[in-house]
Amino acid sequence: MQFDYKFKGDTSVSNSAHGTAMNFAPDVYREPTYFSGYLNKHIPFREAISALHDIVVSDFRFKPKDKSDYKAWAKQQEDIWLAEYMRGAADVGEKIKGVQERLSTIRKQKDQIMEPFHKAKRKYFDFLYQTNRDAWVVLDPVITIHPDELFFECFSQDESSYGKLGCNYNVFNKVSEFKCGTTNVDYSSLLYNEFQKIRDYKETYFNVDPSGFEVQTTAEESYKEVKIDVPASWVRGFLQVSSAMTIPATTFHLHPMDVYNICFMLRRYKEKEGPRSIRWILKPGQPVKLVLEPWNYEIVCGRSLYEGTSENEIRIWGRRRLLLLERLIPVTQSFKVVLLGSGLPSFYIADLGDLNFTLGLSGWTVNDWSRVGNFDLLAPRAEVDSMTMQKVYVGLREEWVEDTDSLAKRLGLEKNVVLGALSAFTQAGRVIYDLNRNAYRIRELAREALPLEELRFANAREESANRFVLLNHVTLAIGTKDGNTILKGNVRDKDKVLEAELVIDKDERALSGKCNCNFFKQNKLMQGPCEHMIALRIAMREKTQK
Amino acid sequence: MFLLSDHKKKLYGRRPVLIISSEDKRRSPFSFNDLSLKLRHDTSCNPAVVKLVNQLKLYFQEGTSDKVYEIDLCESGDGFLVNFRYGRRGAALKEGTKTVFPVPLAEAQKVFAALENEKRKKGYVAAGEAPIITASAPATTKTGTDKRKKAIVKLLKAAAAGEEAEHWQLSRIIWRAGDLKIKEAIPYIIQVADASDAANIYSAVWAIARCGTSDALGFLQNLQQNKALPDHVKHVVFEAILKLSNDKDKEMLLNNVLESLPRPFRSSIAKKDVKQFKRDLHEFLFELKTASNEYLVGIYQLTRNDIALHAVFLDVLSQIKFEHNYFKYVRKIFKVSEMLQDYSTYGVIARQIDKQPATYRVSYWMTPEQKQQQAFSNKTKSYLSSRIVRQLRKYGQANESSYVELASQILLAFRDDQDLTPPYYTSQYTYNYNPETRSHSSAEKKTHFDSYSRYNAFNYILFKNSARYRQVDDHFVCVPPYEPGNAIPMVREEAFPHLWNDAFDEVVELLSFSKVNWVHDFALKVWNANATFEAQIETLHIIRFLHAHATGTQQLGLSLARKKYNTSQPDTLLLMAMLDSNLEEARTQASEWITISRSTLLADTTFVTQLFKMRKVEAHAWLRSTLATHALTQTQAEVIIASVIAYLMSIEHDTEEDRRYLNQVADTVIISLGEFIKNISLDVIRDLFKHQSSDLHTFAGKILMKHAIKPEDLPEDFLNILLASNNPNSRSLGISLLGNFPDQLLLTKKDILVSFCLSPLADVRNAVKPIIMRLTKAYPDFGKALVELFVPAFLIKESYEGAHDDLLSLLSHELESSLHIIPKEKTLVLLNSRYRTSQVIGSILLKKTITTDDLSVMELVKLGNNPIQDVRNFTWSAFQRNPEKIKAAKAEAIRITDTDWDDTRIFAFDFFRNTFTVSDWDTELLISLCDSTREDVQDFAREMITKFFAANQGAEYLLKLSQHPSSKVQLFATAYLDEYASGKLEVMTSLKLYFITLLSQVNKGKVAKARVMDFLRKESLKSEDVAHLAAEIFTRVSVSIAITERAECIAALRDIKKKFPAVQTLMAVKEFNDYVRN
Repeated sequence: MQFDYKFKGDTSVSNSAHGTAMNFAPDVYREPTYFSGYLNKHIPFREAISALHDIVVSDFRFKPKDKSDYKAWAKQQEDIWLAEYMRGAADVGEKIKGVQERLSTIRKQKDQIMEPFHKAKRKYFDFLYQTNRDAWVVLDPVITIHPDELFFECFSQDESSYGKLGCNYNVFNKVSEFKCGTTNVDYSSLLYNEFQKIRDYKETYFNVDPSGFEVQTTAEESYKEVKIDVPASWVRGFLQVSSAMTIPATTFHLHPMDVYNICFMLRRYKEKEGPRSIRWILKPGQPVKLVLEPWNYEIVCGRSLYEGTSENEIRIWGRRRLLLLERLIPVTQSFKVVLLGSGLPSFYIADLGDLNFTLGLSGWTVNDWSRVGNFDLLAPRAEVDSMTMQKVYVGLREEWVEDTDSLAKRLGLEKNVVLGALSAFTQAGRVIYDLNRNAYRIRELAREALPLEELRFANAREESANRFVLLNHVTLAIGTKDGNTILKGNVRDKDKVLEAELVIDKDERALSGKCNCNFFKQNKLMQGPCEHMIALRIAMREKTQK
Repeated sequence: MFLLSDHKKKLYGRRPVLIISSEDKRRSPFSFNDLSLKLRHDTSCNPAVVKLVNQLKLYFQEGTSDKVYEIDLCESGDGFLVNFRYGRRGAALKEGTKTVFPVPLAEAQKVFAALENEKRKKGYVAAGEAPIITASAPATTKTGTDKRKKAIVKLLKAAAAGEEAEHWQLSRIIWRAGDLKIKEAIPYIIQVADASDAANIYSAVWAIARCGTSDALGFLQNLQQNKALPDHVKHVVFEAILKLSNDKDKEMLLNNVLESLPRPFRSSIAKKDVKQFKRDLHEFLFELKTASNEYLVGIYQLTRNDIALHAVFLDVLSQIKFEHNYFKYVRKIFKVSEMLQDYSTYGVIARQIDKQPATYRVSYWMTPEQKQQQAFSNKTKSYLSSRIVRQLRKYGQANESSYVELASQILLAFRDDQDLTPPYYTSQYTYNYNPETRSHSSAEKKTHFDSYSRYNAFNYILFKNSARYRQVDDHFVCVPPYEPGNAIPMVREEAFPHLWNDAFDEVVELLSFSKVNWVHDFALKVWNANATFEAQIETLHIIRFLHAHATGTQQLGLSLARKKYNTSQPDTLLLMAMLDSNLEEARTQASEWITISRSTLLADTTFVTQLFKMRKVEAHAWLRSTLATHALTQTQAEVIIASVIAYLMSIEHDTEEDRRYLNQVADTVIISLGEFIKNISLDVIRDLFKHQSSDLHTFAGKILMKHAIKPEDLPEDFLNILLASNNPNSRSLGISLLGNFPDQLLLTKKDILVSFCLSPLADVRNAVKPIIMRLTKAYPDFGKALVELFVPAFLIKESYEGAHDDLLSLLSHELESSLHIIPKEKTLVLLNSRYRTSQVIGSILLKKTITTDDLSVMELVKLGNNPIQDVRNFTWSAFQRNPEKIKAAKAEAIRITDTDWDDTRIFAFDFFRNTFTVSDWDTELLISLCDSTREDVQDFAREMITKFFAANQGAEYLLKLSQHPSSKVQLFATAYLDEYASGKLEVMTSLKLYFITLLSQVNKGKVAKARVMDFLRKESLKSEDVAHLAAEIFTRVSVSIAITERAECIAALRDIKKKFPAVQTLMAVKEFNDYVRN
């Protein structure tokens, strides 16, 4: 999916011993949006924005170890070992020794000669990496200016973590004129470095520069056009996480040191096998307890009582992403945790006083095919006609931020209708739900409308799997064997009945599968499970939810 | 049976019983025995045949009869046998012997000769021979045809009288009458024509169109009024009327046709604009793909009387794919061409029918609608293909001269470069089971297909009587032992050789124009067999032979030329053809002949002009060398030049070959007549420039280079045409002409020169460089103006890839001396630009024009971060030379450490270490240095802080460094705690976040944590206010699950509680007497 931006010049930061001035260059294709003010809460802002940066650049996907060097060495060594083993007579051994010595001196000489070259080569690649560093950032953060708050949003490279930093206007003083709206800013790693220089004894001027919108025509290149090709899966992930926020969920508070404890365990221990999950054990009126699998280490959050009404146990995966919160621990007063359910997105909202920081995590770090069909957050929830939709949108835009009750009252609409319209807008990336204030906010993710139909399903198989379940064409039997869940069932596809089977491990990963459809016969699991296996999985989800 | 001689194998080779497939075996286990029995029976009349001495195959063709008679002379034991076989060609032959027992050789030969003679008398001939025209044979055929014609007329006459022929349909009779062009039958045909019977009326009109006269027009016009006629009949009626009408009516009819055509054709055909017509036709047929191609028929009607247009039409016709919406009209044209005996069109379509693959296979379940969307099925293809062969055969059998006309046109439609298919073979494996060894053995039988094997009509014409090929289904396959590539037999192999023997015109046409080597081989055989042909030959033919497709024909042309040429009366056309020939021998011969009468020949300007028109490279090489040694007079040269230029302007210049030819002729003019073109009139050159061809512009440019006129006097438009040309040669000529201008004039043409410098064409840029160099040297102002113009271009994106590099080389070489005029600000902008080339030009400017005094410290610092080493060096030396200046602006100067370049940083550390003293450093400076995000800079800053630390600065360092995000610096700051925070509540309050941060480091910062814990614990016991603060921190941190941290927090809280019970903690203290730990 192509995103086009046009910035006037680069975002610039001028730093001296006494002050820092940050000028963000906004996207001039967007509606003019600007803001300027002096920073008031220096250190919390610095830490929070750094945490946001950590999210932007984070990539928690599994990367296999690079063993090619060792393998090359072993191959070379193999001959020597072989020769050593094979040598029969003593003089052969002598000869080999001589040759080996000569070889090793030659190699040393070679290394000596080649060293400057290798060094220069490495340096060159480093240089390339440094100069093109910005190419590694997938999408620049989005800045939204609202009458009560200014917030930054971003999504990680691995398509699994969402971050939002909201600052109310106490964070700034001497706020001059501003204009509400959403814009992208030109963002670079240089900017991150400059953020690190924020101190409370330095004046920090923060400016989303409106001058970019002024028309200027000279021969010099004052505008920078950026075209970013963002993977559709990235956008889908972003929308899924933000629409997950609108779903009612289990909520409780944590002490900052509880998060410290979680990070502590994760830093201290490294899991070598699954399940890599956190099991939240919630009992009404009792301290929140969590269990880190597979070691079953228990953390009891003694100062955080669960205030919900029913007992609950929720497992979440991809817990290493919680390390993104590490930098916030000292500056946070408390964390609010929002869990949608096992394997579903979760949210951690840090309360920094005048700032709030939301970390949203998708169900798994890797949204690959082993999790497909596990949830469908982009499914339409309520049918609202387009006129009403429009009315709700325009109504919300008047205030920029409002909760559903007051919006429904103001517009004279039913609350359900307003809610339906707003969640549809959330799915389309035009509105977000603010977990901190429990209100909806206008936020246009992209300048142009996103192709929602294309985004809803990752592929055609997922779509038809969903259809099978909707049409009740799936019969399912769930069994367990060796701790793995086995799904067996029949799926009626047109006039054929196909027998599919899927084995899911404790991490809810698809281990193996079988089906007598053509897709499976041709590809096995190489291209992911077939539509019938996915249908089984969706059917299981439906069943357990009921 | 396995001892059979070769001869015998050949004898039975065609018998199907010889192939024993495993399948056969299964069907009949006894077939093996059957076979041997049969063989024994067959050989019984020819006992002990050993060796074939002589064999003769004779053929007989007449009417539907096509027979073969083979005579063998065999050695058998001590005598000889004469055996014979006869029968229909291709079928199993009957056989017999003339000698029951072996006889002596002489006698056997006698019998052999007698038998041969007998058969030859009957009209048998050997393959490739013309039938011996005996007294009776032609008479019988003639009367045969006549008889046939008479019978047809008689039948028609009877039909007109109301008597239906019993065994022959009337419409077929009418058709046959037309086919044989029986004029006498026309009146009867008109009488029996029945408009209600489509077949009848169609045949009638067809016959009238073939051999009728204008008398029949009335009948046809009446028919035309009949609206009930089917479309295809209406069409032939119109064609017939068109053929029979007089010129005036014809013109009117054709005008009507013209009006019905799509608009573009109307003008191009009416104006006979061949090129436009060709373009339109291609556009309509192959690009626009209009819904109906009906206009093709109209175009055929209009163009068939105009050679040029017709050639275009045929060319297009040979490219049309036989698809839906195309084939329908092609078929119509095919029918009409047959009717009108337009064999050139017929030939082209005949080739197409064999060449084009069938677009679909008919299957019985196809609905008519489906068929309607298709055209040219496999059935249609095979029907039409065999129809053409049948047509040929019928003409041939009727001894009609139409046969050679038709056959030669079909052959002419083929071209080696388009139709020659590579030979291939298919294999058939036969498995034999041997019950004795109980094993199978396999034999591979290859069937070879030679080139052109799929063209039925082509093969029929060329190889009907060949022993090499025979037709199997719709292919001609090789008859073993012949394989593709084997030597070609010298005997004639074509069908109806006797017809070809009378066809001098057709043979000459084939030799002249055919593009197929095999056709030349065939035609040469015919030529060689007919000694009379040579007497009829004309010079024009020889010239055509010399330029023919096949080498053999060229050689024939040469030998004919040698016979024909008369040295005393040189034939210039022949000489030219020979000079322009492919054959080196011919060229040498011609140049020898020219040498003999050189003076007269070369004085003949027409001849020399003609020589210029030769096409071959070798011919032009010869011409150039010949003219170099021959002195032409001025008048002669001018005449030649004028006519060659006129010729060049008249020829085509569309294809690559045309352009090569044009340039070759033009170059020969320049090379050979260079000295004479000095004074050529400018009008002539203008005409050349006005011509469309850019090659002629180049030619004009070359003339101008040699011309006596001064460049500045040249008309401006000449130069503009050359310079704006798409042709690189023209452009470089234009620029070299420009280079000949006097400098003053060039200065006024600055814009042109600038546009050349920025041209995306490398040749233009390179060509203009020397001019720029010359002008800049002579007029520095010119160079300055260019520099001012070019330098800003570096700041914009390149207009083409490499533009910056080109400009850079221009500026750093040709314009180097003028660079100094660029102001400082511009240079800095260039240096800070993101394009490498502009940085490079900036660095050149920096070295040339800027001194360190010109730059502020801020600017120097920025240059220290430049990717170009020289620029960074510049900053370093500036720093070293002006320490005072640096010290004056130290806040800016220390920012030099904030660079991506290690070398600059290392330099900076050294510089500050050595140059800055205590008085130069202050806390602010050091802290801002420490604020850097680079670790090495932080280290350096800490080093400097330690070195220049003064006691009064401690508190400031502590407060400011404590806010640093780096844990290293935070740890560094703990060192100041004891000294500068102890006992100071305000300081400690402002450090609260710092304490919490240090204590919240996950799984790290052991030292810092210990220091802070210790410090807080100590301090908290000193005053109650501090205790409040510390208790808050400890309470927060005590949640940690790290046991040491937790324990320390609890211990500290316990102590606080003990000392200041009023301090609020979340802790309840329980005393245990038996366990006390300090």
